Amino acid sequence: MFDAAPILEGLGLLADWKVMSIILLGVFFGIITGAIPGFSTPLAISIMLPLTYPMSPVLGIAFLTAIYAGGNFGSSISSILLNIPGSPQAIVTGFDGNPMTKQGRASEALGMAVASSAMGNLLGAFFLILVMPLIVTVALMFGPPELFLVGVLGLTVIAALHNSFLKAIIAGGFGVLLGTVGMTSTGAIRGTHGYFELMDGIPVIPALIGLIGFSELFYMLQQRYVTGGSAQKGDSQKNLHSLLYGFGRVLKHPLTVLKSSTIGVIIGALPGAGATVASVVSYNEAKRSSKKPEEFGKGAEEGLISAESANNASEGGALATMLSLGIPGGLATAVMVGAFMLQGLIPGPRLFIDHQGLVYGIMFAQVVASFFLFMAGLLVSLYAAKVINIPTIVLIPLIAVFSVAGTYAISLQMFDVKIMLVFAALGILMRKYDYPLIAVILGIILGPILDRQLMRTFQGAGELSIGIFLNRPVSLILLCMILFCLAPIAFKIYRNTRESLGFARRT
Amino acid sequence: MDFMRQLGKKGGEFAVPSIMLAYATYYYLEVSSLPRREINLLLIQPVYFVMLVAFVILVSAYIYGLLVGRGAFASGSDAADRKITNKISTLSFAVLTVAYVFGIEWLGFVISSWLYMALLLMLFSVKSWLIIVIFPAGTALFIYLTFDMWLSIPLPKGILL
Repeated sequence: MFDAAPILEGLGLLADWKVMSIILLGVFFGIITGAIPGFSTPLAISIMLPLTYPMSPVLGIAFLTAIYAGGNFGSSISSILLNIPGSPQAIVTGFDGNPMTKQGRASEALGMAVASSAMGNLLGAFFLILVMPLIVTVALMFGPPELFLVGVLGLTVIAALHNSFLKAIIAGGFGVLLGTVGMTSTGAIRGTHGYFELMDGIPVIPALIGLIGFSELFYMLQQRYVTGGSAQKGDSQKNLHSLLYGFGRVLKHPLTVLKSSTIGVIIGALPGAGATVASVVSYNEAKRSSKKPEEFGKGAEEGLISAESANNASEGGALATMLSLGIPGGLATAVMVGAFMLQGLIPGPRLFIDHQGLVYGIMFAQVVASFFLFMAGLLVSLYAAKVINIPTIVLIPLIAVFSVAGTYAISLQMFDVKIMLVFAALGILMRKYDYPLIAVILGIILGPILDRQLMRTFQGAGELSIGIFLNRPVSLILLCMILFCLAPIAFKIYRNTRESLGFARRT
Repeated sequence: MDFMRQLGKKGGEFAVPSIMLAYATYYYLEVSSLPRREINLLLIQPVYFVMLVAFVILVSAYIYGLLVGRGAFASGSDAADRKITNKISTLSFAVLTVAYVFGIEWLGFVISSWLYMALLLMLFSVKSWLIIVIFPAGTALFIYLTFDMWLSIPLPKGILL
């Protein structure tokens, strides 16, 4: 039976000036940091994560989701103005956004990006609210074998999407092993090397900050300015008029917004796919179905709208997977899992059952963030040129000190800061040799879950055999999905081997 | 000879998987020696062997690629952009950061952060003494006030502040 009480409770949580202010602040922070190339959304969320510790759960999580929403739009600013995407998801935005800038329509393009982003975000939030109870209902039918396979599926998808499956497998396996460090439910102490701080496992948040945030600084250091170009500054009155005009142009393409947002939501819900894939697929679809496909890449409005609505809508899908199944789809949602852990909450079906009001509050916060995105996006776009030209010599010391203070603040231990440095060193190497950071992070997060569920499966059946997974319909479906993800990899390996053998025979 | 040269040049490619596999082996052996071995290794054993197989295939594919004259590692475009060109600054940044982290407990957060940021700005060739002194002091004080005063999260004090 439909129960309105948790929905009302969720709305009640938002009826507080502090929550509204923090969402607005988060959106502004996300847009500004997102606009600075190299200052990725996960990095922005990770350095703000420790600040959420003393906040209430709704305040802290709403703050981070607002940064996420703002960052998704913010990264398109530098992509449109300079053709330098703030984050990978804004690459496609630049395909048509930058040509518009070159045609003297920069403000119009920014206005269109703001409107499409906010609409995409809003549609993603509605999807989240509607679909979340359904996913949770299904997820609650899962037993230990299914929960184990969901974790394996998450890791498989991440590995399958990376350009080197083997590298992703090694990184994911390494993460899983790290995730099992600490005291187990059987009382065994694994891999702590005598450090009592590791009894509860590898601290996830310091590891996240080190891998995602701190390691990035070493690459930021290689440039004096994160941007190579310079954005034009113009008359703000004229800019505002053009921004609003661009805003209005989006309303002329309601179908593109709807279709792209739907694509964004679906792709966002897949672990590992994320906003970048969503924007690419949506852009291709918009081009395929357009009456003027030849205009794509030369400043087509539909191209810009499709990319922006999809990458923002993907947030709704990613949050649905993270909240209902506890599987982070990307780096940003992985950091958010850390935020839940800081509050003593574990994302997954039980979260929705035990804290329905809170989950609805977080979902409604997404809707509020979409409206703030309209206003904050327009305001920041007016002064966009000033925002994106922050020199790295200012950014690096700031981020470094914030990361150290933030990491320390989580459990008031310098040990965590040292762990953060170790992971930063690993992150530098992994970035250099193209190993997926998300695989390690997902492994650390999923490691304890996989370990626990596998042990419960074993205890329940008294033995461990593949039959346990084959005899249950849901786990059989999940196994098929895992095989489906692995099939293209197997085909690719087969094709490469055949080509290599042919090449060797010819030479 | 060419093969050995290529292998030496690109040996860094193996640094990440080697570190990961070395840790995994050490961890696997450590857990193997614990009581109730089969329970403790339930997940660890298959994960370790999957990693081991992936490592062997990765290395074999690379060596095979070199032998037949084809690059086995097709790094993504992201990785191609990930080059550390400014080696002295990078190394100095790393050393300063380690010194900063170990110095916090001794000097306290505010003073060590101020010193760290000031030294970083000097390293980045900032000429203005006003910026070198004021910007780090303002930032360290802002963080101190935010965490210590506003959020009631005490930052390390050390012998100074």
